[in-house]
Amino acid sequence: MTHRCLSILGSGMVFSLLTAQHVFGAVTVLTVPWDPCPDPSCRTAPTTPHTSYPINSTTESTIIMGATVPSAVGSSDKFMVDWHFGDGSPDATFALTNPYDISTTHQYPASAAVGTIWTATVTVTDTTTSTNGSANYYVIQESNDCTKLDSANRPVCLASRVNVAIDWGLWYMHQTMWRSTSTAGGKTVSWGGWDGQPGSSPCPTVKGNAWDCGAYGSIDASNVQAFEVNGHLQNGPSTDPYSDDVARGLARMTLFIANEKNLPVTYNYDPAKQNYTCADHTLPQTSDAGACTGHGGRHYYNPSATACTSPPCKVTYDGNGNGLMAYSMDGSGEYSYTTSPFLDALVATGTPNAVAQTGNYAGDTFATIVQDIMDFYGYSQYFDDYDVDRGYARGTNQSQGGAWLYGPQQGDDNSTSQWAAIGFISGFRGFGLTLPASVTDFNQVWITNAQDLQESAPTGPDPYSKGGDNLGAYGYRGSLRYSNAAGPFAVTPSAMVQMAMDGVGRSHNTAFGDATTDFDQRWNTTETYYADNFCNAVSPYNQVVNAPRAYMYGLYSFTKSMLLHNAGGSLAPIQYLRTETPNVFTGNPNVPANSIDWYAALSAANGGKDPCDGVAQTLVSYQSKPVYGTFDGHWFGNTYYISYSTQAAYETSWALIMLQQTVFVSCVKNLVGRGAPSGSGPPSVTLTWTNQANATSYVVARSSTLGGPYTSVGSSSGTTFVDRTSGLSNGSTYYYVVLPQIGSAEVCQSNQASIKIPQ
Amino acid sequence: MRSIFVLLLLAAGYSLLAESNPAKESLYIYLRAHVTDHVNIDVSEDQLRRLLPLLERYRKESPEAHVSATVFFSGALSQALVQRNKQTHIVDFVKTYVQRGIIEVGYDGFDEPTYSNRPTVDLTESSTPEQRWLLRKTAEDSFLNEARDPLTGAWERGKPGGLKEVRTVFGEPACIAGLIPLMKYGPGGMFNGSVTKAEPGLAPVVMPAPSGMTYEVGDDTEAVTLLEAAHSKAIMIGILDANVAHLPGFGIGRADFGHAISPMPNTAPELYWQDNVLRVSEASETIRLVQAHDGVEAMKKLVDHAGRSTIHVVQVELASEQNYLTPEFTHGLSYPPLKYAYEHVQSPNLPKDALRRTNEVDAAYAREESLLKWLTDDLMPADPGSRFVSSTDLSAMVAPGTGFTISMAGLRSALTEYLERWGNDTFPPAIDRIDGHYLSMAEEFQMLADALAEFHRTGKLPDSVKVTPVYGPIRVLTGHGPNEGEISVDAVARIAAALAKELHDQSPGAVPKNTIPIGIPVNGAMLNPAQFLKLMAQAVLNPSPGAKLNIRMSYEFSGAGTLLPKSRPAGDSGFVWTLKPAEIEQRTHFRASS
Repeated sequence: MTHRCLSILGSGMVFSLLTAQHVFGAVTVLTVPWDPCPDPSCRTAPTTPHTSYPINSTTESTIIMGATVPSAVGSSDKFMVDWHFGDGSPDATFALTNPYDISTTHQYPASAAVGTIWTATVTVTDTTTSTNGSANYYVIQESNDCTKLDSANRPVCLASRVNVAIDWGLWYMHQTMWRSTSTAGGKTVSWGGWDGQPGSSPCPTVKGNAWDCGAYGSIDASNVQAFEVNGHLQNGPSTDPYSDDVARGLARMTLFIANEKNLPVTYNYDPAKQNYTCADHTLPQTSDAGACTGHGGRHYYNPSATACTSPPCKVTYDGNGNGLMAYSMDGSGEYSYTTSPFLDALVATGTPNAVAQTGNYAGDTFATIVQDIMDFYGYSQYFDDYDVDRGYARGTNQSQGGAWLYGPQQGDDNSTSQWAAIGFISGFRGFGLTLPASVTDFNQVWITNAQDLQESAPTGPDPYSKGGDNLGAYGYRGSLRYSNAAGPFAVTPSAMVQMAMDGVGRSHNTAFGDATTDFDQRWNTTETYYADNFCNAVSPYNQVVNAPRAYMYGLYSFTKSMLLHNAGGSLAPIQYLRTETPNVFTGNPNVPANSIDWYAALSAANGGKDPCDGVAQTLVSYQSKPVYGTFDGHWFGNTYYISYSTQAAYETSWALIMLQQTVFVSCVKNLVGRGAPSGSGPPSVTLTWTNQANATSYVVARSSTLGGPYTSVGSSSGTTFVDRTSGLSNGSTYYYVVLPQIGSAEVCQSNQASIKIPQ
Repeated sequence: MRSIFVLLLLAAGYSLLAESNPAKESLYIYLRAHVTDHVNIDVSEDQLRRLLPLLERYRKESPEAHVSATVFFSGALSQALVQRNKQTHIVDFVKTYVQRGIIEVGYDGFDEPTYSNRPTVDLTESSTPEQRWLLRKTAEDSFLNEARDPLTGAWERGKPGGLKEVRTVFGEPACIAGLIPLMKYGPGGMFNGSVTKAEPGLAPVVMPAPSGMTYEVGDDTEAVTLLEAAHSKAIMIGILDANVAHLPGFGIGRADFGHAISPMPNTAPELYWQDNVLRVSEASETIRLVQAHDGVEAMKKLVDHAGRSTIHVVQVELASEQNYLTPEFTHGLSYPPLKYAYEHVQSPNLPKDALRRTNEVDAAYAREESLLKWLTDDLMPADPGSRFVSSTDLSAMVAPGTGFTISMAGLRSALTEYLERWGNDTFPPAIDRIDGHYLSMAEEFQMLADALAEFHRTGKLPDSVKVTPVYGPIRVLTGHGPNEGEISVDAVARIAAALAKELHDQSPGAVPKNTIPIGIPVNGAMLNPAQFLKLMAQAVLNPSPGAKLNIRMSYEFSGAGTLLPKSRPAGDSGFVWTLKPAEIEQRTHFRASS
């Protein structure tokens, strides 16, 4: 949650009075910064305080205050820790037992006014040498008022809750990380992680458990990514304890990336001719080899696809020409599932030219590894197509072409395929690498073939064939109709991530007030399917199969798809989940009709007006009332009953990534502007923001509607822009975003700036 | 009179209590054996000649343990045994054990006629629900009645086989398994292989061209109607230990279905009602099919990890054919021996090097006996309540599935909570418990329809309603239906009255008539039956003829219905309406002899 700047401005406090974190004395003490300002352009900015907020008039939230004493590592001296909270309450004093953890918890006064700032100081005294060191920890009282909305039209209370949840979650990951020094590739390396693979150490526990530790190496990648997207990088400030965590995690995780010589893949069909449905939107049938006789013939979704016009087509994916492809050897054996987390974590460093320390890629740049992973996913995509023109019912099995399964070229599986898709998106948007058209052309065939449609009217008398089917849903290895194992809410959002890769997004539909309805409704029907079920209660009888918000894995893919929604090639994150079904989302007059802010919605139980909580409050609630263990900052167990689910260990990292509303990069958060009325010239809006790492330019986009959709009004190679384009008028409010670009790829979408032009 | 919500709270309280005072529900051990190899007939006969006396000995030595096993035969094996009865009297031998209650007879159709040439439901040429029903009924009828060539699977016109032959030779089966046809989606003759986790790069691990065929597992309503017509009282095997149809998510589905279907301590994850037939699963989350030849340690490990907050039923396979086979033939492409036979029609018998020496077979049986001894001498005396159960025992121990009466007061009280739980969710609650009885969605539909029919006739709700057997819809509308409009209570009652008559019609027909309707037309819209179920529940709670009820969307699949592993397309899986827990009513405890 990144509402900090706006909250600060709103509070009227002058933060330049705060000094950067102080480290002084012989003992080095580090405290966790809320915003470490990893980009050099903001290093001079004042340290931003952590959040505390009143739960009610008498009870304040309990916050975690993380700090370490790196100089005490390996020391045999005795140390004492003293936390002075700066609010008049007694200090907390204790003997140091773990130099990586001198944290404490605290409740500031609930009566404090919003905007109150406390400067806590943690002092560590080496009682053996009588030396000491201190560092400050800044805390601000934020609002828990859910009736007030911020500039993005979201309840301000949510930002407070999310910020505190993130602090707890990141510190939990820090606490449970094992650290050691080892030899890898003949070099001494300081690494650490959360995996249980050879060379690891046991994870330190919190209250007897380390819920975010898992057996496989990909847990390191996922946890590192969670730190990174929250602004903590391996090349971040040395005063940030998490900088060391990320550096160690990266050193460990690259050990699990293997490579092989590239091999070609041969596609056996033309995606231009296999990506179709019947012109009346019914399902092609085997009875006429998919000719859609009596249903208007075939409608082709992607007729200009050129990936393989004369099959068979032999393709060798080798984007950097090094002849290698890379994949996860993290111990799980599930290559397609576990490879892209490594890619995401590397992209999230924001440093394509950084060099790996360990493993087969020691000495190679992150960009090289990322490209080789993309090559692996290209090679692994299933090459053949068994659809109705070859006598098979559409959606029946795992060999309908264009997607991924556990290993290379094994078949199609929607759960697996989201990881391939997110890998391609990350490499493309985060590092500016090429997303091959063949990948998206063939994947679109799968997206079309595996989607549930209303069944075609049969030749026989089935009066119910148009009674309504799972329109828009997806199953595991085909359509939901034929593959409904464990419900649709793991795999339907996974298909949405694939659509985001393919450029299949929202289209016109009169149900949404558009003047016309486009033929391509693939995204709309799937979004509608998910939206219709979004508010299902998270209850014992529903479990994950029937309640999307009860299942973290599916929720994570859904979040990715909303943030990376891509309609026809333009990144267009979605704020309001919408549905064609009437009367689904009611009660909140502050959001567009029959829609819900999928991230920021708040139910009445949590102070809002929405029919249910969105992703953010859902995650906050899960953390505060954990399924397993007691509250300590982790997430675990919001999955199937099945006790040996390996997914659960990843929940903490997934939650932290979702709460930050990003996937592989922390985006521009401080877009601001002011309007100038017409005078000597037309009305204008001046915008400023801070630099996005690696961005080569910025697209500036505007909407007259809160939350978009936005239309490009120009671009800038710097961090300012003046909009003097037509359409602006005095007295009107406009909503702006900027989209940093690397080459031609939009990296992400900034915060929305709401600007009113004076009369 | 408590609904499932209350029960869940109780269950939660129960588990909290269990932490301080660990509750330990019973383990029921279901002994079974499969004797289905009609090719290597000497092995089959040896299985029987070793196992049956062993069971009898344990039954005599530990009478309080109720040692009994269900022995599953195939039709082909039954025929083969009849043919050699004159020489070895093996059929007579078996029958004496049946008559003395030491074993019960089971039928398993999985190994016959062959694994790839078997009754097939060709879905490429069917379009209506009735057509698909009849295709499946025909396939199931083949399992139950028709003889097939024992090696090629070719139909032998006019000759009896399958279940019918087992009945003729050994008597009425107490348990039925393996009524699994092939389901055909496209051209080809082989069924889909499993997906292995391939090594990247070394060589492309390419899936073979899909055949369009798969085993149809999870549901068998058409077979149930045939068995019902034949007055069968048999229970049926539920979820299998092996994922024979290579379903993705099989393990998760199996585990979570078990949780969903066992909400109380006296319900087992492995025991449930489906289509009004009691099912006993081979596996759940913590329970797996135990091979007795794996010995005591394997069983101990399972018991240690079983989780004892509910009853469990553990199936133990005795006298496995694996006892006779060398390691190369106990797994992989050469197992089971009938697979080898079907693929080597000219010389179907196992090669000599496939068979173990006698002393090795003896050792395998010794391990099995050690397990029986541990169960009777150690586990059961130390674990009061745990015992052996036969198929007939299970039938007798569970509360009846239908035929009981629900009071209107109890119904209305439970409905309040039922609707509260349903809320605005798009999926119905799986099960309800009213007046001490679990009800499936289908039964709830029938009961509410009956109540409103009476209301429509008399203007008053009845004092009580009887629960009778009904089947799910023969076509599931997989969409959620309309989410707008309203209907009066009076109109709901009028429609319900028309439906109620059909729900009690058990007269013969091509497809059963006492099924939940596929769709219910209301004001020009087509509601699915789950939507109408909700409206009926609301009407019973508020029986004011003029009151208006909002039409809300709802899917038909409850959580349990979704989770149960199945390969049949969702639109044909109306059986999910009939799922409900099987409550153990009569618990007879093991008593160690003093």
